[in-house]
Amino acid sequence: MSAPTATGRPAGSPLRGAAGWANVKGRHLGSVAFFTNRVTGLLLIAYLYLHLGVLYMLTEGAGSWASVLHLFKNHYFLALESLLILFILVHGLNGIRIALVGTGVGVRHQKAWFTAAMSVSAVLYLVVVLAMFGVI
Amino acid sequence: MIAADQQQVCGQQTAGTQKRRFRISRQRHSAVRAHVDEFDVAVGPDTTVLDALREIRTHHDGSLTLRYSCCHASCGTCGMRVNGREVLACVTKLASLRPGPILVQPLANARVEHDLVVDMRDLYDDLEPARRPLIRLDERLAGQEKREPGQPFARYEDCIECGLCVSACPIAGSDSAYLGPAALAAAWRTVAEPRGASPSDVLAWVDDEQGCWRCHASFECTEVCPSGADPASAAMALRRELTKRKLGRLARLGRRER
Repeated sequence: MSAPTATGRPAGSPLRGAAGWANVKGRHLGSVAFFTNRVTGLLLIAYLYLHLGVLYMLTEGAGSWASVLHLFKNHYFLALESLLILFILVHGLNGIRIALVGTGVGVRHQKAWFTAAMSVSAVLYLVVVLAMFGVI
Repeated sequence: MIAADQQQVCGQQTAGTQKRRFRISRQRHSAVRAHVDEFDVAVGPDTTVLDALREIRTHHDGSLTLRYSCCHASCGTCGMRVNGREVLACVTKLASLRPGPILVQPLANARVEHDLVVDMRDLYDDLEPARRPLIRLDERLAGQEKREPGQPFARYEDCIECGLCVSACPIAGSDSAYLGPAALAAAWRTVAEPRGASPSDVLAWVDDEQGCWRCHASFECTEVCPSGADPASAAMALRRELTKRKLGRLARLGRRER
């Protein structure tokens, strides 16, 4: 049996959970920030498992690992990997905003915090992409 | 005092030449699947959503069920979703909505009683442990010391218990066990101005995984609040207060250890 909650009502099902937060149509910037953080968080968790799968290749010997490294140098793969950097930047910087706002710091400026976090993410992402593709 | 234009709103302003199509969610109760009925209504420049709904009920379909009372955003009974956004129907003019059909739905995150009427009992029940600090200041403080005139403070007495914040909250949409923004705003009101209540009891109540810590700071509640009560800031203020108290307790413990 689950522990009693503040309301005394039982916790909802995970399915209802996704339906409750995934629809941002007609919502405001705060909801977009919330949605973005959840989606990037889920994608980063998915990447973690993918990463563990790739590391498993090490156990298959040098040949297997060399083929993986060859794939890593492919431009399409690099483009996908740059998205990983974008997700980390967006999730991390928005996470700092949430941590600050969530403990009562700059609550009334939460929209400005989000705009700043996304702007910094965009600039850093651009720098990373240029570096990855050897432009700088 | 009711403003002149609000008095006009109460007079059901629907006479007009322009027609607007209303797509209204119809549902006998939560257990039955909702369907949409369409109505074309003649509207004027000042027609509100509530005016149009009353027109539909009077001249098109008498079985349409809705709830309203004051017609000037004081009672909070006519809360509903119009084109996906939570509003008070009595003060939402059709002219402020995008052109095209208007979708009208009941508030989300509450059981539907009938058509546009939802069960508000969960909201009212959740306000009780917050000591319901929604009584007007002058009523509660009769014979007691009052604040200095002009001293600024946020007043959650302004909360009209309409439930728009709960409907808009993605966490309330995710989990029915969550306290919700209205109760948290009321709780913070009691902590900020206890008036004889115990702030510690209220803080212990909201210091729960389904209390103020469950809020994910989407600020949707504050965006839709028709009376400027700012529930999101209240939830954050509760967290700040709890964090401060917990850190203080930790520091005292550390000093005692030394």
